[in-house]
Amino acid sequence: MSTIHLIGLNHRTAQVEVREKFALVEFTSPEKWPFLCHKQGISSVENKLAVKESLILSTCNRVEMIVVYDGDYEDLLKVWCETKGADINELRACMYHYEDMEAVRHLFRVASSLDSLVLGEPQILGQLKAAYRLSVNAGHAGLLINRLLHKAFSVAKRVRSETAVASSAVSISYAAVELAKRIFDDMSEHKALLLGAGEMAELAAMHLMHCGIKELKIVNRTLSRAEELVQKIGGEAYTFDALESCLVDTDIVISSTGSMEPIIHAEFMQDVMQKRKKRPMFLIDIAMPRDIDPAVNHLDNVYVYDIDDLKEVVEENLANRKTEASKASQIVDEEVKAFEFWRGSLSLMPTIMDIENKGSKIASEEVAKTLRNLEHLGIHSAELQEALEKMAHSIVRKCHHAPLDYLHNSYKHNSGEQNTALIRQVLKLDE
Amino acid sequence: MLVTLSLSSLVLCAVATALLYYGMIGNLTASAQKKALCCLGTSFVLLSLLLSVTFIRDMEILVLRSWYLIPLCWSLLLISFLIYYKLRHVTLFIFVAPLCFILLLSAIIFLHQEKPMENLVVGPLLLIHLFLIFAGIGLMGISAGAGTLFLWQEKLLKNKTKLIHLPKNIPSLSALDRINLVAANIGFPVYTVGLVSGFVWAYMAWGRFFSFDPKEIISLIILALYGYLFYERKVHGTNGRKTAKLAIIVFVIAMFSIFVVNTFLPTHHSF
Repeated sequence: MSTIHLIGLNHRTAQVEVREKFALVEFTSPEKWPFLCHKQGISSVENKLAVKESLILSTCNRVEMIVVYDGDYEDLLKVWCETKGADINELRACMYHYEDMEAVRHLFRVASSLDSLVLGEPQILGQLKAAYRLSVNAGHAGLLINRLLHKAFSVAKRVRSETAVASSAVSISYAAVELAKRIFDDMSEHKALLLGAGEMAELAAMHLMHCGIKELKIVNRTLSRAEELVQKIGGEAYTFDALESCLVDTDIVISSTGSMEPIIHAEFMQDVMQKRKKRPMFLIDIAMPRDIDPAVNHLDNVYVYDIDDLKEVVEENLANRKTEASKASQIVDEEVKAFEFWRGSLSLMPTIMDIENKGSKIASEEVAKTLRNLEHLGIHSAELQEALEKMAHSIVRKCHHAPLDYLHNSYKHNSGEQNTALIRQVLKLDE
Repeated sequence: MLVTLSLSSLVLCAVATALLYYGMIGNLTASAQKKALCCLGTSFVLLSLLLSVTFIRDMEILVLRSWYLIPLCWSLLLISFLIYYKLRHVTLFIFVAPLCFILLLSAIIFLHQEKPMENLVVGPLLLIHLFLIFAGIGLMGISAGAGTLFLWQEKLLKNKTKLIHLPKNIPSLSALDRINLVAANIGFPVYTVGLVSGFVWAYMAWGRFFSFDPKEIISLIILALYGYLFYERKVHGTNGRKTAKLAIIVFVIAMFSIFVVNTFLPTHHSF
C-alpha cells in the first residue's frame, strides 16, 4: 500500500521570509505541476518525479504538499527545493513531515481550522478547496486524494456545526480593523482600497464595510475579477494602472495579490504621500509573498502591518477557544479512525471481488447444469432461466454475507489482514 | 483666602492627575474619568472665585507673579473644557491636569517673593493682552499634550506593538492630530492678537512698541514657530509626527519663557 506523505511548513515553524521563499504559488496549471502522475506516463515529461497522487496547498500561513508516493519523502524535499532554488537544509530546519494517519489527522485539523493562525477562521477551507481543484485539474487527484479531501471538507463542516470553535468574529480581518481604529477615529470618514481580489482581502474588506467605511475601491490586474467582487461587496473597480491615483485618495489599503515581487515600494509610496499631503495611511499586507516593501513602514504617517504582525489575535483568543478546540479535536480523532478503517478496507477489495466472482461463477455453473437437466425433461423457457439465475445468485450472496461482514469488522479491530488470509484459505480463493 | 483657594485647586488638580494616569495605566473606567473631570471642574470654579474676589479687591494684583500663573492655569482649564465640549476627548486632560498642578504649585511657591512691576498702567488693554496670551499658551499646552500622546502611540504602532498592549483609552492617531489641529488653529490667532495687544500696551505705557527685552524676543520666537505650525497646517496640510513635534517644541519654549526667562533674566516681565 502506498504511503500518504504530508510535508510542509507553517506560521509556527517558519518566519514569513522563509514561507515566502518556499511558497508554491506558481503551480496553477497541469504543465507547471512539479510532479508527474504515474498514469500520465513517465516518458512524457523529463526530470519530474513520478508520484501516484499529489496536492499542493500554498497560503500566506502555510505551504504544504500531500503526496501519495511509494519512495522516500526525501525525494519530495529535493523536488521542492529544486523548484524554489533553495537549500534543502533550510527547508529541513523548519518543516514537518507526517505519514499516513498522522498526515490525515493534520489535514483534517487544517481543514477544520484547528491549525490556523486564527483558530476557527473560515478562509482555510476555501483555500483547501482551491488547492483540491488545482490537483484535480492537474490530474493528480486519485482515489486517496479524492476521498481524503472530501472527508476533510465534511470533517470541517462537522466541527463548525458541532462546536463553537468558529463562532466569534475573530479573524485576520478583525485584527486589521481593530488596528485601523487605532489610527483613524471615525471609519465613516475614510476610504479603503483592496489591492488584489483574494479571499482573505475580500473578508477584510467586508469587515471594513460593516464598520461603515466611506468608500471601497478594488484594484486588480484583471478588471473583470475586480468587477465581480464589486458586484458582491460594492465599491468601484480599477486596474493596476489606476493604483497610484487610488492610493492618493484612500486611507486604508488591504493587499493580497499573488505577485511574486513587492508591488508597493518605499520610493513609490513617498510620491504618493507627497501627493496626499502626508495624510496617514494604514496598509495591511496579507499577501504571501508580501506585496508591500517593509521599508514603507519607515515613512512618516504610513503604518504597514503584514500577516505576522497580526499574529497577536491568536494570543488574544486562543485561551477562550481552547475548550471548543478540544471538542473539535475529538471529532477529528473519530474521523481519522473512520478514514483509517476505510483505507484498511481498501485492501479487502480484491478478496471481496474474488469471493463475488467465485460465487457468481458457481451460481452460473449450477444454473446451466439445472437448465440442461430440465431441457431433457422438456421444460425450458426464458422466464424460467431468469428466475433460476436470480435465485442462484441470491443464495450465493446470502451465503457470502456473513464472511464479508466478518472481514469488514475485523478491520475495525486491526485483524483485517490476518482474517483476510484465513477467509481466502477457507474459500480456496487462490486455487 | 488666596492661599486656601489656591491650595484647594492644587489638591483637586493632583487628584485629577492621579485618577487620569491611574486610569490610563489600568485601562481607565468611565467613572474614574468622570471623577477626574469633576475634580478639574471644581478646581476651575474655585480658581474663578479666587480671581473674581482678588480682582475686585485690588486690580494691582495683576502684576504679581502668583496672579500671573493662576490666571494662566485658569485659562488652560477654560480652553480645555471648551475643546472637550467640541471634541469629547477626556484624553486632553491627561496633559492639562498635571500642567495645572505645576502652575498652581509654582504660584504658591512664588507667593512670598512678589514685587510690583514698574511704571504699570493697568487697563482693559493689559487685561486683553494677558487673557489672550494665557489662552494662547493654554492652547499650545493642549496641542503639545495631544502631540506627545500622538508620538507615543505612533511609536507603539510603528514598532508593531501587540494590540493587547496598546493603551485602550488613548484616542486614535487621527483624533489626537485633530485635537492638535483645532488647538493650533485657534491658538495661533489668539496668541498673535495677545502679543500685538501687549506691544500696543507697551507703547501706551512706555512709549515704545519693542524694547529688545528677552521676554519680548522669546515671545517673537514662539510666535514665529507657532506661525510656522499654523502655516504648515493651513497651507500644506501637514499633519502627524511633524506637527506633533512642532507643537511640543513651541510649548516647551513657552514654558521656558515663563519659568526661566521671567525668573533668571533681566526683563520687565520678571515681577
